[in-house]
Amino acid sequence: MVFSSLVFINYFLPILMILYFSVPRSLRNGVLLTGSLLFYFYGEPVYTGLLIFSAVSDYSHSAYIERYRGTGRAKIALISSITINLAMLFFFKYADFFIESVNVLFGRDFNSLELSLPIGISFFTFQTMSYTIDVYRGSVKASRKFLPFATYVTLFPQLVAGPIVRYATLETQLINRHINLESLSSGIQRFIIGLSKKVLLANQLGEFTVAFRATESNSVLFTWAYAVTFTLQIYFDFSGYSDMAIGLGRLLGFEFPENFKYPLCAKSITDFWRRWHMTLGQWFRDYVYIPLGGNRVSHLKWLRNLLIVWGLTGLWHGADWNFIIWGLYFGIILAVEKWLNISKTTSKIGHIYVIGVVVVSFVIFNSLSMDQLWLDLKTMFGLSDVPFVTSETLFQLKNYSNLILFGVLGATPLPKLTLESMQNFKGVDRIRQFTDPVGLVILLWGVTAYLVDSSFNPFLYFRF
Amino acid sequence: MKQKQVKNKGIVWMTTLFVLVGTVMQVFTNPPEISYVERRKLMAFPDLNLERILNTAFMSDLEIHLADTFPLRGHFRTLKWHMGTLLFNRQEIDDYYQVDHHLSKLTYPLNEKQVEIGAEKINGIIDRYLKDLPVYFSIVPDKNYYLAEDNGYPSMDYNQMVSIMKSQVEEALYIDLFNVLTLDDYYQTDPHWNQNHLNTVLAEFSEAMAFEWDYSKYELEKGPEFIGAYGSQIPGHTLVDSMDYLVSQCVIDSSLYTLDTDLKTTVYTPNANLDMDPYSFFMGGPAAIQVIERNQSETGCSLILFRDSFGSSIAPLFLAGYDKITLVDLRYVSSDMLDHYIEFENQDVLFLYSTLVLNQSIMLR
Repeated sequence: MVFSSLVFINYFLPILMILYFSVPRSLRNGVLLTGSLLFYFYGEPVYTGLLIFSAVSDYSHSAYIERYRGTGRAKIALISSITINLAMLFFFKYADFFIESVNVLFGRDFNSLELSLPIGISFFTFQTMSYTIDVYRGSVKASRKFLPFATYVTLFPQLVAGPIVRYATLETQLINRHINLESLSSGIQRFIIGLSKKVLLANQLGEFTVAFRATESNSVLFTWAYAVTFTLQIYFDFSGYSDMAIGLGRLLGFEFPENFKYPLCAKSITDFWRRWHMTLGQWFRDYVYIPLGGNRVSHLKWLRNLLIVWGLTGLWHGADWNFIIWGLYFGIILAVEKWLNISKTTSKIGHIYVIGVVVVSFVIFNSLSMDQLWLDLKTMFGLSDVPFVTSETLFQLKNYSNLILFGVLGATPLPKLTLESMQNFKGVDRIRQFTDPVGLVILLWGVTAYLVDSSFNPFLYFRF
Repeated sequence: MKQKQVKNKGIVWMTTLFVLVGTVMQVFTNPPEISYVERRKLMAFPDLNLERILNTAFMSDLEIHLADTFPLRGHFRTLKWHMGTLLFNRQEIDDYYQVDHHLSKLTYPLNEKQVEIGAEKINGIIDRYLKDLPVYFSIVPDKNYYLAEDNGYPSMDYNQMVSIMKSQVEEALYIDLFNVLTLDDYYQTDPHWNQNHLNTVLAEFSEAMAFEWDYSKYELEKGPEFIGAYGSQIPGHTLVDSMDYLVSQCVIDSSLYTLDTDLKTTVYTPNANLDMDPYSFFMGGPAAIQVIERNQSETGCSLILFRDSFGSSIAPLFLAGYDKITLVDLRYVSSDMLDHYIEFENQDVLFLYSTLVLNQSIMLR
């Protein structure tokens, strides 16, 4: 089930919320666990057992680690837990990529498994792994009760597309959480804003990508426009989903960490990765980069650590070579920035540099094959045999002009800052007590219009 | 503080109410089975069984059902169109677009392979059935030929399509209609041409195929108002077409036999189910093989018309030159079976296909 669907907005969520607030507090985790399993079952019936297995496995391993803390048994349990998680991830997500790579590299002909990818497997395995590692490190205590832990693992708002929430963040909220008018209101606001980003902007920008892939009169300008619109699409798609997750969390009494902080306004690539998919970056920093030695090692080892982390970051996003290249591309740029000591540039040229690097990166990211990647890059830099502009390019630019404009503006803090600056005027609070609810209903109305009459509602991060 | 509380209460209650009203209305209203506005059957509540749940077919169908039967669906479709065109300045929505008083759908790019398949199909029929018969072919340009490029919309390479067809269909004489028709010869809300505007087209055919055509022998009858196929897909417009039709003595003195249904009717069928497809007024709608025949022989000539839906409205007008017209729609009958139903001798033959069909010739069987 996706958040941006009528079945979720008009049926699943209202029914769950009514049940959630009808039962005593002690039963709320039970309602939430049942609802979350149903949510997952609706989208992925056959893999629901895998999700439950993941919860049981990490719960029991962590309990064992807690019991035998400081002994070799705890270490074995940690290794066992990590192995199980990685094995699941490898088997379901990377096995075919591995088989195909072996076939290509060694001229073999092994059959691929052709398994469908369990939705959200990269997110929930990373969450459960972080829990077991944290328990081993002693930074959190193993959950004594299975129900709160299973609720954490299956928690539907962040189950399939993050943010990657660590157990330590939710530990106390899983036992005791407060919901008041303020949290309900801010949760609804955040959810509707995320929903609008996804349905009104990301989905329509996605249609530009489809038009670009279908064209028979490509041009240099069309390819650049595609690169920019896809960058905006994936930003609004993913940040919209994170907004919805954070909003839903607040409705249920949870406070999830932020995942995006205007990344397209970053002043350097280092800065970009502090603002884009923040919870994933923090995960790799804490569980891979620092354990490898981080930057407190020789220059050569530091470079190795950086490339390992970014190669894995790329691989996390998808089982294909373009994702690995995408990750390493950022790894190399980050290494150069650190080497040149560029953590933040201030000039406009610096900002253009960041946008250029990011836009090119998403062309790599969205390529379906190495041939297509090479062709797209050659076209962007005028090295292929296509004209600079065609009539179709001009048509599509006009067709999507406002969406691109709204996208660019929406990717900056400008709308938020404008609203905040209006607060300084006398009487604005009195006006906003009416305009804010009406504005949100209008947004919801518009989103419903697109959901009622839409056949195009992809979600890019589901494949991760 | 109080203002913030009012705002928070407003947000919670107004948004909750908006969602719940939609849900309650959907649950407690009986959804229609058919949307006459959209001209399609709506998805019924899907079958529920374990297999369909496990393979997620139930869930996929449920999503469609909920969207299809959502309360005020028409209002939401209109809102989406206006948001798209006015707020987002979209030039097309799902490929549909409006320029002044004409609605259309983008059809590009040219699919050369499909056109070649169409040419091969025609050549195959000529080789198999039409040796020694006079064969003609003509292409009906779709509205975009007159509408798209001039208004900044992409359009297919029509010259290339004609060039492929002319170079590959060598055994038939090509009759050009691109320079004969204008945009105003088409309905405003429908892809088809307007029968009342086919005078120049018939004049072109009569000259090439050597039959007599006199427009003055026809009277224009006022038909029912209708909203065409494009009009049903584009909500929020106010355009309406009129199903006017031409009548002459030879049309009145003729009958239509439809092989598919084994029924004999008049060539205009006002009693057909026009709610779903108003264009069915002509020849009763889509059919594999039909025969129009004058009750009394006048010319002694017969025509076999291989056609798509554009042929429905022009076919009765060929009665000016032919006593019998056999209509074949290869989308509904295999070309291998034709000699079971049709005798191919001593007839003129016309292949009349629109660019819309030729660009997807794989549908020709």
